[in-house]
Amino acid sequence: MLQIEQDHHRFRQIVRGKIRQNLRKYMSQGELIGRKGKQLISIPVPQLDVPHFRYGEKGSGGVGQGEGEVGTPLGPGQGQQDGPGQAGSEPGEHMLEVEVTLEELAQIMAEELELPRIQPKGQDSIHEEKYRYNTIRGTGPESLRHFKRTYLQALRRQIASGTYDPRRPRVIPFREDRRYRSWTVTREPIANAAIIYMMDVSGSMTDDQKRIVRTEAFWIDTWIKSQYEGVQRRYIIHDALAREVDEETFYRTRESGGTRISTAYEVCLQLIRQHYPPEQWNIYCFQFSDGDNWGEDNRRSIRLLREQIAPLVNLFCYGQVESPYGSGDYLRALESAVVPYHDNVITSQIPDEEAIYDSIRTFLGKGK
Amino acid sequence: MSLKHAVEKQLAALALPLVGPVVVQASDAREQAELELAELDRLGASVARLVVSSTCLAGVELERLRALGEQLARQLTYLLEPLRVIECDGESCAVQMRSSQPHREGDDRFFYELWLRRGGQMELVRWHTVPGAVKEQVPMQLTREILLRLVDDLQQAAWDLREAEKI
Repeated sequence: MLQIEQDHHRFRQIVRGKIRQNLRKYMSQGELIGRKGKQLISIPVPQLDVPHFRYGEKGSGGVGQGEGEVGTPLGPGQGQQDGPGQAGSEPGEHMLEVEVTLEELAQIMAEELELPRIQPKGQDSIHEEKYRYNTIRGTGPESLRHFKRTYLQALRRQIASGTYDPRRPRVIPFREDRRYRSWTVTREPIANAAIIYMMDVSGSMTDDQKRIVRTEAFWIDTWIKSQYEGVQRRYIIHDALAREVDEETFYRTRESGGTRISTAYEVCLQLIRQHYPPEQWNIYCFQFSDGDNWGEDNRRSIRLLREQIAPLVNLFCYGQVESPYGSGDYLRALESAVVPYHDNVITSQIPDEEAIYDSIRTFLGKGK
Repeated sequence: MSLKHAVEKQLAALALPLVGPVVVQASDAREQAELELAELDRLGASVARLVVSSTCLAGVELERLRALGEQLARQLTYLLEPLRVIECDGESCAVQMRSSQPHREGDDRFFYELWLRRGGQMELVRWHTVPGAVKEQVPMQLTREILLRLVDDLQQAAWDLREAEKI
């Protein structure tokens, strides 16, 4: 290994250590969402000290100069005191931005949260037949003729038969010299896990709660994507009615209807039945609400979850975020009526952004 | 006799100081009031739940109920926590109102919740919540004057709604 590679490796280790150290902060603030690219994520790493010389003040003499006793502190003299000062005109200290891949970030998260690898329930992967033009054949349509290969074949034949004259380098392809592009069929994994997010967007859920959901969903995505070759995500919002929406709408919608969680479960079931046969897919459901389900709907929601959804999915996670009006009783209802019967149903209370870290550990800590 | 006076009369008949729970019911021609009292003395009452039922709300549509909610939000300022419509549900035809900003005491938060239902019920309760715990219902601390004014305003709002329906 070259010296520069060793240094780079060591630098990456330091960066990883810093990210791990600050992971709880990153996980609770949600600022990384806006820094995510397609493959890389840019992370501001504070206090990553690069060794450098520190100069003394001008005119104050150097170390070891002048009079002094053993133990006399070196540095600014007495009489200089801290106090409020004027704002400076020089640029402030910038944080170092480092780029890490999403896989690396998932790995750091797994190490820090001690997450076990997921044991897939469905097939390892769902494959799709793909056609790739990567071979050559002697027959084919003229539109696929490979001119270079045809020329080479003709040249090869002429040299072998002694009809090639280097002084008059004319190559005339015959019919049997013609070469055509052809395809091979490969089976490639397309997706094998589906994440279905459900969120209560009724009037009692405020923007703060949605921000918590968004941050938590980002980290859940990062982890599950690192565990499967392909992940599909679906989003369902509900108040008294539920519908499937795109990701952007999911986080931006606010409705004023009542809260009926069962409607979201119905749409979720419909999605699973239509698109994700449980024997082939690894299905993950994450639901977020403030738990203020309208009284009579609790029974229906619990029946749907216990009897129909839970048996189909790898994991069903319910996160109860706390609105200014506190936490509803749906969490308690789930814990008494569903959790004891299905070990793949996990609940977590998320009073504020600080609780996201522990909530993710609770959700993903079972390795399902 | 108005509903307010009927309630006043019922309260006057109770021996003081009263420690509940005691349910007090009073009615006039169209409305009925039900109070779950936790405590009552000469000045005020600790009320776990107040329900005013009115036949005026029997067949009302959701939009009318929402309008009633907005009217009450403007009217019930003396609770010192302005109410606002939080959720409206077409299926059960009900409107949920709450204090627009819960009252804070350290980590504790308190808020009123007023339900308006098509069946004719207007129900007021108060909740207490602390971070990380499920909210619990607590009694409202109301002076007698405020309590009676509340009963009167809820009755009046139901009447106003009926008049609006006629138009």
